Amino acid sequence: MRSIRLTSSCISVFLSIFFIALSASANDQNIDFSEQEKQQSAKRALDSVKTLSKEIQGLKKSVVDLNKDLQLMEEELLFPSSTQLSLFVSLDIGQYFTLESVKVKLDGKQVVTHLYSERQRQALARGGVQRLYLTNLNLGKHTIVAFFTGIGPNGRPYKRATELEFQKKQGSQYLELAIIDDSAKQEAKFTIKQW
Amino acid sequence: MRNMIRVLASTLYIALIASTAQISAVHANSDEEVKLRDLKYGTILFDYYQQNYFASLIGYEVANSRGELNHQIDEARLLHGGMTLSYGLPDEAESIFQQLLNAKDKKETSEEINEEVRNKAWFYLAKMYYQKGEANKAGETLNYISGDIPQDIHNEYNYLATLINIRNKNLTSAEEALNSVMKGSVFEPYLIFNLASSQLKNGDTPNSEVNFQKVIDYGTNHPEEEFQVLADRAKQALAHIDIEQENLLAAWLHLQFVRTTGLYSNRALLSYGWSAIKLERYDIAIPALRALDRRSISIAEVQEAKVLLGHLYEQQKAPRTALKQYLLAEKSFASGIESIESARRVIAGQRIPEEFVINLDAMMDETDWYGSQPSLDYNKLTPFLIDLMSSNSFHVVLKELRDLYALRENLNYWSRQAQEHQLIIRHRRQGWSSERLGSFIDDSRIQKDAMEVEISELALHAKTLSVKEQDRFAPLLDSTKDDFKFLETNFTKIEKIKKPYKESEKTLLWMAKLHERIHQQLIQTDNMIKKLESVMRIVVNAELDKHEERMRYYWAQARLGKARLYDQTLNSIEEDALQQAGPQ
Repeated sequence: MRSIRLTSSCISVFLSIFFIALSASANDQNIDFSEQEKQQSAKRALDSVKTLSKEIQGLKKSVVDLNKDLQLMEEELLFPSSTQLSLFVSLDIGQYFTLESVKVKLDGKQVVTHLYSERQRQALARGGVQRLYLTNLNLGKHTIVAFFTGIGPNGRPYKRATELEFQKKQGSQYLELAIIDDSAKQEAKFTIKQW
Repeated sequence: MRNMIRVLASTLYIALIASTAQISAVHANSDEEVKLRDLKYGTILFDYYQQNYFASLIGYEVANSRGELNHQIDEARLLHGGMTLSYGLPDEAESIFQQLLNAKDKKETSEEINEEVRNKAWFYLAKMYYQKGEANKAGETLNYISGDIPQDIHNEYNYLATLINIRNKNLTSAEEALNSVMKGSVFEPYLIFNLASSQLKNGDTPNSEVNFQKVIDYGTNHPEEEFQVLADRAKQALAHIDIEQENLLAAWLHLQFVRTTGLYSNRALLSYGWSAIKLERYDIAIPALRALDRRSISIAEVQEAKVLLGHLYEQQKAPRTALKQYLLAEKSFASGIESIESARRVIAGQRIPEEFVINLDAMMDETDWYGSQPSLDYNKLTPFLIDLMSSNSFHVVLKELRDLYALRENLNYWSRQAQEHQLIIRHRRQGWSSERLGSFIDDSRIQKDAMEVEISELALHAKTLSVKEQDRFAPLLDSTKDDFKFLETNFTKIEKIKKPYKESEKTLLWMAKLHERIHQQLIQTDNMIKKLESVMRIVVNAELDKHEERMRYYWAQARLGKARLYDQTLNSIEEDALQQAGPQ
């Protein structure tokens, strides 16, 4: 009989604990499920990030400066201004042509090809200009041919090429492969512009 | 699971909503195209529009140091501020915007900054203060905007102004904006939600309820996922107001309409279950809790539901089902504890924080945190970090770490390039000396003279041939003469070279200094990474501790339930035995 009484009392204790626990756990945010000390240490660690963030900002700035200097130095080393030729791609609106890829031949040799992502197309359409190619070139006469592929009006595959004969002079030279919407003809115009 | 990111982002309250809009800074409107006058400015925009802020900042610095941004100087400076802010350099961005605005006041520039650029600068400065949590300063800064608000920031301006009003408790002004300029804007439901939260905080429950209901109505007319998530949150908010007011039936009705999928569904299902229990509708509570029971053990609501289900079966006088539920719950808790141990091992791994941070987006896209089993090691971590990831401070840690890893990668690239620079210099040094060049020119001159004589002799010899043979020979001779002329031109060019090209000492010194800077900054970056990784490990482990303790707590509850049922069974057997023994 004694064991029965003990068991019954156990049940009532268990039940009361259980109900208290359950009603409390209706919102378990009320229960502290971790040692306060550990949580405090995590909080302190997170707070220390504020101080670190200042240092990281300084470091980021220094790395940007260093990259600038390195790019300037590397261009001077590898592409001196006397022989430098830069090739850019631009897109004016792009309503009549969805650019997919560009291929460039310089003096009959293929020098660069590029396949465009949607993000890059958007960036071009919003006024961005892509530096496609950087090289060294002898002074004198040269020929450049650019091939554009993409989707033209009415969603049809579209392939166009444009050519320019140009004179490489002293100093850096810039060429821009420009794709411009021609609203009169309702199609895109492809040109190579010398700067 | 791109939606997951959106869901998590929305938990960061308005501050993060504002920062996501930051991406569209400076040149947000694609309709208003930037007229290209500077190629270099265009290349900066190309990177900027692709959100490659690091590359665009470097592009700006390079172009600026060469003076290549002459035509669009103010726009470029404004863009510089925007890029700097987006790259996570708020202090630097603040000083850029201030300089841009002060230059006009102090008349440092010959031309006055146009109204559009000035207004945009004030706007971005205000936005930056708001993101820093300085709402009053943001409000003051926004007041400096005068004249026409640039079209491409018009919507964002109204949004920011309303956010500031809500934060500064100018709720009447915020409401006015919502009924006029912000009507129909994409930001409208977020603003209404924030307004409702502020009203609730200020004790204006009736208006808060009206506005939460507006968010729900907005979700009814806009099926997009983000608005559905917001509507779910509004329904839960209304349910909690009703629970506070002890109107369980109303709360239960609101919770009925929260979707049973998505991040907020766990809390909603549990609250729904509890409301039903309190209304003594156990039959309705059970399906909600069973839905939770099938989800991942790492979710706190699931752990609670497992024990609660057992209790409900007991209430329904189904001890066998209850016992089975407790036994299964025990098994789940044991596997949950094992998962936590495995997550601890993952975070302790050498390369794991880097992989985890870098692949965070991919993991959020691919992993179904509620159902599927993670396939990668570091994926074992994610289910336990849902709450942590919705905290702003942990996001800052992840963002800073991601930036630091990118910096380290960049510096490692330059370290490799530095070796190539040195290789080029070594080759150039081993190349032509003045003496070698002189002797090459002398030898070439002798060869050239000899060729010239040979070509003349060939020409003379050709004249001795028959007319028919001469006609055949002439093109060959002309071609040879052309080749010789080309050779002669190049020889003349080389002859003019007094001494071979040699890299200047200045460039070499500059290069050496830059290479040293790469080395130093790499050390600094590694140190910072170590510090932040340590913070990340502490925070993640504390979160895992929290999970473990919660899980052990519910595990103990399940054991108690099981013991109680065994006890009852033993008790009834004893009672039966006693009853059977009694009459004898």
